[in-house]
Amino acid sequence: MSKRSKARPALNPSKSPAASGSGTKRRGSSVAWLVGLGVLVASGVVFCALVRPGRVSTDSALQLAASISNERPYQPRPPGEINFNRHIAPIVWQQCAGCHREKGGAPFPLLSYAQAKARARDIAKVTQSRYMPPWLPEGGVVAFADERRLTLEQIGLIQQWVAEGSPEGPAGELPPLPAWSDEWQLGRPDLVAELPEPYTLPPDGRDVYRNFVLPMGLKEKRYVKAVEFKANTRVLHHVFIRFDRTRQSRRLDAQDTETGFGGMALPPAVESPGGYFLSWQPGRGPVRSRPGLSWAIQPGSDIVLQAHMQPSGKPERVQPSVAFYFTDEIPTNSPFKIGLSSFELDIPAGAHNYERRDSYVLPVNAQVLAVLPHTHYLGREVEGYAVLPDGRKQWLLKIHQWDFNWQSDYRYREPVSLPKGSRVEMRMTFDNSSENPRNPNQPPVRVKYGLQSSDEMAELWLQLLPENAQDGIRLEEDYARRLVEDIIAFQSRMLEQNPTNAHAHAQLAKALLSRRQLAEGLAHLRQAVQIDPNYEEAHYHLGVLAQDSDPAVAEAEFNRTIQINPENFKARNNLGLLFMRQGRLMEAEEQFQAALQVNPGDRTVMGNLELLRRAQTGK
Amino acid sequence: MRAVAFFVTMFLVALTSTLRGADPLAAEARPVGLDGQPVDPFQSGKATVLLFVRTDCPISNRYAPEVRRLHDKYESQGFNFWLVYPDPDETSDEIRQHVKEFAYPCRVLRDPEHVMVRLSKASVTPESAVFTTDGRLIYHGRIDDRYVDLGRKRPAPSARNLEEVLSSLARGEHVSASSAPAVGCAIPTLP
Repeated sequence: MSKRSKARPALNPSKSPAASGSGTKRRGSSVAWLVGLGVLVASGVVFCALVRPGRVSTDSALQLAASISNERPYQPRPPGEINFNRHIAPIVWQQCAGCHREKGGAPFPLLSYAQAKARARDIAKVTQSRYMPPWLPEGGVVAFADERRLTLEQIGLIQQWVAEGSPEGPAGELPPLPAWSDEWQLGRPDLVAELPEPYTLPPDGRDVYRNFVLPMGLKEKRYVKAVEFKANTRVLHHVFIRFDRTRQSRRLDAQDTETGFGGMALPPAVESPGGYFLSWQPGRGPVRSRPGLSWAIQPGSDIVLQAHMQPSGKPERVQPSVAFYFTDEIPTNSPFKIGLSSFELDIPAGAHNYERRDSYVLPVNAQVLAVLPHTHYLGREVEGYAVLPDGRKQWLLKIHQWDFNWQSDYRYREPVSLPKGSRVEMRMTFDNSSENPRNPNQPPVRVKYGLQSSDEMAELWLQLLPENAQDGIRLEEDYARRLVEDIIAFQSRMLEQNPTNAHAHAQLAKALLSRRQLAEGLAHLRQAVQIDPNYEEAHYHLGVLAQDSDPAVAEAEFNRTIQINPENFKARNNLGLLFMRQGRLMEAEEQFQAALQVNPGDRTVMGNLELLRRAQTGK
Repeated sequence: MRAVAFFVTMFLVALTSTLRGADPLAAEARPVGLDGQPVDPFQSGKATVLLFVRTDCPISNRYAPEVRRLHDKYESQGFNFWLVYPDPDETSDEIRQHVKEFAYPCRVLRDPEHVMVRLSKASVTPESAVFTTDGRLIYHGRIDDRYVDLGRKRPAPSARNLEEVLSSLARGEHVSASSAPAVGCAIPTLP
């Protein structure tokens, strides 16, 4: 929202003070607001993840990949050589015990010989199948930071140990037990926010997706260099960490009788930090920004945690907290997220191997810092790679068997450099057959694109670091153009299938308006409200379009928007501006104040209020 | 003791078809209650339902509400529900705490010698076994098919195997012996 932070009356659609929902943080390309379209914002996009400093050439990245893929297969040891104390304890302590210890989050500890011995068969089974440790990317294609992945050597040692009866070995061979801390790992945080009222997860039933609002009480803008999440319970399975500068999430929370609010679609104002992913999964430590790449958090922001929880068999008290570490160093560069996706998902019932692809050609040189795949319960294979201008292929991510429960973002151990002209590609396959046990529909039904877990999505997000701010703007504008084209193509197809789809009319209108195709955009907005007279967003944009040409129409449309949703602070702000221009200063103030009630500290509204004060005091 | 248990099993196999109403357990091989006293879970009624659980198996714990539901529906129809804790390292105090925490309504027995494990052919927790009053094992295996493998589960079960057996028995129908593989935490073999 930074680009619109200067208070200036909104005079055209693309410059309208759309105070939130702009998904990007860079200076204003006229189409930037489209990047924040609900369909994308509400998906798995978030994060703040940083990679160690240092650049590598593509060549060295490829060499790195090659060296991992040559991982040596396990060479069996002479019978009787392997024991717990010397061979297995170091593996279990390093790879499992971070969670499998008291207060570690996993259901049982694996610290002692007795504990490991009692679970030996299960350990052999789940490490062999790679269910544990939970880590989806395949090894051997590209190296990630903090990989929780066993080597073939480690898996082989465990197999042989269990096959030989899990012997303990001489006491003298047991190394000292590592120390784990239950405190914040980066020392005393600058700010800790905790869910004020615990939520009680029912003991039974399907998995629960719920959004929790944690007020931060931040009085001024701060730059964040690290974030650590702490679950107080084992039932939290994964969490996306987002922020809301408005009061919309708080109100949704208040309207719900229990703590938090349900649903996968969040208010449009809820954003992940621009250019970053921010998520947590069991076993994940603090997320640190690399030097020069801290990110800003605005005063008055609430944390919105989108949490996936699995019932445990008894009622569970859920009360997570998030710690922040701030820095005074202003970021020297900012990453930008691009998403490869497929809105055209339309998976026939019973299809075993439905495939979707998407690609994008980079208009500038960039380093890939992190990757976030997102699909639901039908997704199976996930692939991301780049085809370099010289034709070579650079892997970015390869997942053989997707598991929604363990979704995460992945940071590269070393950034992957991609030259301008590289084509980044996504390929995903889906299993909508009854043989897929995770299929939410039995018998299977046709499944299309959508946000709910019974719908499907296909997304691969890349966190890109351009070489400089100019390249950043080029990338952002180029990507937004592509996104607009995608949306126009997709929504046009939707309308061919069903001409009375109000949502498709409105989304198509927004895309057309961003390209200054005003007449066409207007026509689709009118059709949208004709089909659905309560379509808030369409009324809002009709108001914005009429602001200059027909103030009476604009006033009526904004009033209608507010009637449908009294919390639409953008409509109130624009209505206030309209009144101000007409000299109706009292009414203007009323609207600005109402907008600030919903979104306190909104700089656009505050700036407009300041202009109003000057007008009231005779300039 | 294992030899005794083995003998008991063989004895059962030989006798259950002929000895209606016989006590399937030799006194010295009986599992124990939380007070350490031997317990005979095979009492009068339509059938005995054993549910193998442990305190720290997440899959077994997740079934607690389903166990409660089945207990509440069928205990009053003449079925005897027992929770069986096969891990000899779990103490009676830990088990009492666990039963309270997960609000299990069933009676409890410990099976440190795995007598019931063998009789029931149980291999994991959670796993169920249904015995008729004459001591015949007529079902053993999963409670339902929610879990396909460790880490792979359906959003909801598509087959409630245990309940199908119980409802057939409740209606007085003839039930032939069956089993279905259970998914859960392996019951460790005794040293």
